[in-house]
Amino acid sequence: MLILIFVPSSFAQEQFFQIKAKKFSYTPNIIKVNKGDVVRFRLVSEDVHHGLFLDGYGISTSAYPGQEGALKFVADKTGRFSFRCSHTCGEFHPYMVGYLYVSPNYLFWAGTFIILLLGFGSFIITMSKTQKKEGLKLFGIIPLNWQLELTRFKLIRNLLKSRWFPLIPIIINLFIFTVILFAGFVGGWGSGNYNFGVMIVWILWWVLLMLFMVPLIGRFWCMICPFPLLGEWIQRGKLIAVGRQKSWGLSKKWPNKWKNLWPLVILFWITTWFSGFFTVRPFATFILLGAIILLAIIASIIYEKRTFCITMCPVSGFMGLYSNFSLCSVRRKDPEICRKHIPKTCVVGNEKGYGCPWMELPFDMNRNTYCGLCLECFKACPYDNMGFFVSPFGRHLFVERRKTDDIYNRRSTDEAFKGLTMLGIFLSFFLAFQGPYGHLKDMVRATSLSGYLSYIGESFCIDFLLIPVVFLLFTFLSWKVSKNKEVKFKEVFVNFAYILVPVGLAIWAAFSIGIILPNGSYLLHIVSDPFAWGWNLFGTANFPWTPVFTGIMPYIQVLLVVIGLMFALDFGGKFSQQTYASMDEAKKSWIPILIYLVGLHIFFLKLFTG
Amino acid sequence: MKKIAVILISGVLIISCGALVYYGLRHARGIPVAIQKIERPVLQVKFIDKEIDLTQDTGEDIWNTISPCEVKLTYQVTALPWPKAVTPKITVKAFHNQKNIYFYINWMDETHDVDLSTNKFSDACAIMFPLGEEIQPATIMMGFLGKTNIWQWKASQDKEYWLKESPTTNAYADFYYPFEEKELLPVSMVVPKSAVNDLVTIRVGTITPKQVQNVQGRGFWQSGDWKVVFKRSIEVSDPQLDASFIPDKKLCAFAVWNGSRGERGGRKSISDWVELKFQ
Repeated sequence: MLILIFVPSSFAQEQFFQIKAKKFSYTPNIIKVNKGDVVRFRLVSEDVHHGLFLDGYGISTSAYPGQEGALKFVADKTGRFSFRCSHTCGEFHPYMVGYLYVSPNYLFWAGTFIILLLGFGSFIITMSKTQKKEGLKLFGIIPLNWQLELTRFKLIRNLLKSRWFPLIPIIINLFIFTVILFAGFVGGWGSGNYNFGVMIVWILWWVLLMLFMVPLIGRFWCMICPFPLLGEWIQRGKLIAVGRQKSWGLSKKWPNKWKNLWPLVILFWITTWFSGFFTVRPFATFILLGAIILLAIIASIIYEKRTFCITMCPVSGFMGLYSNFSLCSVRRKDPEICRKHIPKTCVVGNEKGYGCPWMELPFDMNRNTYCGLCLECFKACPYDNMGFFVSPFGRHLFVERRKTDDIYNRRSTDEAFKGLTMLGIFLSFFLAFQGPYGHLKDMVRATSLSGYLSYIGESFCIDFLLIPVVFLLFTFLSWKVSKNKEVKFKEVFVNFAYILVPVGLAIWAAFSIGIILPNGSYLLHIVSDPFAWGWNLFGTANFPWTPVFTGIMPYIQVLLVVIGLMFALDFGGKFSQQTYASMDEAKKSWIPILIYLVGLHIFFLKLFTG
Repeated sequence: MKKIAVILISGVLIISCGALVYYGLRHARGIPVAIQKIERPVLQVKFIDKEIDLTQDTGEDIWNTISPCEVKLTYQVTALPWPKAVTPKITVKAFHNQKNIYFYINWMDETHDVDLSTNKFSDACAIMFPLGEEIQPATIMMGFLGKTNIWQWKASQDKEYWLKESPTTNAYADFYYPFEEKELLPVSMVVPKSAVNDLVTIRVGTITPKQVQNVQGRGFWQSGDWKVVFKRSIEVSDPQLDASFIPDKKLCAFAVWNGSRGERGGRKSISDWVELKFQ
């Protein structure tokens, strides 16, 4: 008689973990259990009152020193769940995080499968192509040269031509930033999660920037940014109407050699050295923003026009690069009108508007990198020949930078490196702020000088060595495989670097989701009590910390990563065809980049969910 | 002219901002301030080649030759219930004769509380010694996250042991917070083997009498003043559970209960660590 013995693949166990909490990490910081296990946590505080909230399960406990908190639950949901501190314990409280893994991690494997499937699909589609198509289409469906011009609508046209727009939004922003600066000043070294300045800038503004403003409208923030306003008033001598065309001040020209993104690549990277301070300490936010405003004003009286915005604003670099992915752009409508129009008032200005403060050539502009959406060209053009266009994502990535004058060069390594360093900075930020590694948090907030210097060194190695070198290797392979010696390796490297634009946007959007969903509820508190003076302006000052949608947060992040990959795969194939004359060479050259993209996105998936 | 104006404006702006930052740094909320590190009291444990026979007295003549060490006490607030008042300080002395170690605790208490009954609680005092390497702050009480050995002397127990007086009740109530609301837990009395309970604990709520009681003690109250002496062999019988005094430079902490104030359990006055320095 046969006896069938069923051996289950895993047995549900009772698992007990004593978790010690000390600013700003848990020990153990990573816990692994299996689905169905009965899990018990004993939370013990080693210094101050700490809490533990488990994402996805929505359960929490807390422990004062000398007491303990307890949690007991069945691990019936699989995946990776962050457990985070639920009681403000210090400045890094929002980033005090540990990871609970409940095996099997279906989400990670499903995401990996989708990424591999997309990669395989891209491979098949690429190999099946026999000739280059004339018109580029997004995902083979939406013609990239499709566009909708919005000034055909009278309301929009009048709005864009009015001198009050975008001045009114800028002035509103000026008020908001005054409150931010004041809140930062009075906030001192307190915990940033209850400070108006820190929350509005690093939780709300950054998230809105990465999730909506940049992907949809490109340099929308530059349009309404209040930082250059004071300097511009000094330059122009007028608040609203058109005053001096030539800036008051020394009106120096920025050196040609540095009229690119390199200063911003370095400056933004240097700014991130202090992220462990200004994102959590109100006074540090005050110092940073104050320094930027001071620099903007001084730059405006030394250099011409918006030199500060183009060459010194830390966020201008990635906004400019990423804006080429966005839906919106400002371009001239009819080239024939511009050809006959002399002098070109969009450049030199007239009584209705200033000449382009961003020192672009609006009549000839074909990219968004250096267009700040200030809309002066709309006001200055007597023929209403400037248009506000909506077009498919990424359209502007496919045009080359024209050598319109000695300012802007061809597609170049500065933009390539900007795309690469943004990946590196994301990696450093994610590990330090959303990772469970207490030693990284100690390093980034400089608990010791040696740790802090190590963090800067590690950041340099990731941003300027590891990520560029890995990319360089794959593009080198791509170049070799193409067997085309006429195309320079630099061109291959630079052209393919633009696939990192949608990739960067996607992962930064996913990162932002990881900030806003757990911590967005603090915003309700700070709008009612912006300076922690015990106010309750809107009745929400006592609104408790309430993380939202943490259960679906990993799914949203995976979706964003997958969307980024889809765009990168689509764009990469097109860049390959732009780089090489023959389809055969383009196909061969694409394969190493495809492998790179698939591997990169599985790595991102691992970061977010694995 | 323009150049001078630009330089002036830039200079004014930079100086103003610098002054603002300086002012902010000096007056910012939450700015760390230099805190004077509180020095731990040091209790010298002298070598005196003498013995105290607690069956006779508490060796007052020996204690009079030793300088006292004043130890400040604070409220116990780590765990409920909290005391309603505090005994502000005690004076302590100690010596050893290479065979036994003696501790002397003296504090002011206007009432002589030696009886246990309904709403009546005994005066008491205790010494706590950390066991093991990781030593948590003493104010976290009863060795939370770290094992401790506690010698607790109770006046009621002292009376039963030394005067051989039978207790007025043969049960007492054990107290769990919030005892005003919950039922009291009757616990039967044991015949005390000493006036001092030799206890071990690893966290709040785990206080456990040891199987082998090694510590003797005796206390006298006079004119609002308690004097209590503890005695134990320097050699340990169980290194896991007994406080060790070899090598020297150890820590201990003290606690005092005032029965007339309803102090029992967590309601007590406690000290931070005191350093023992052996001679």
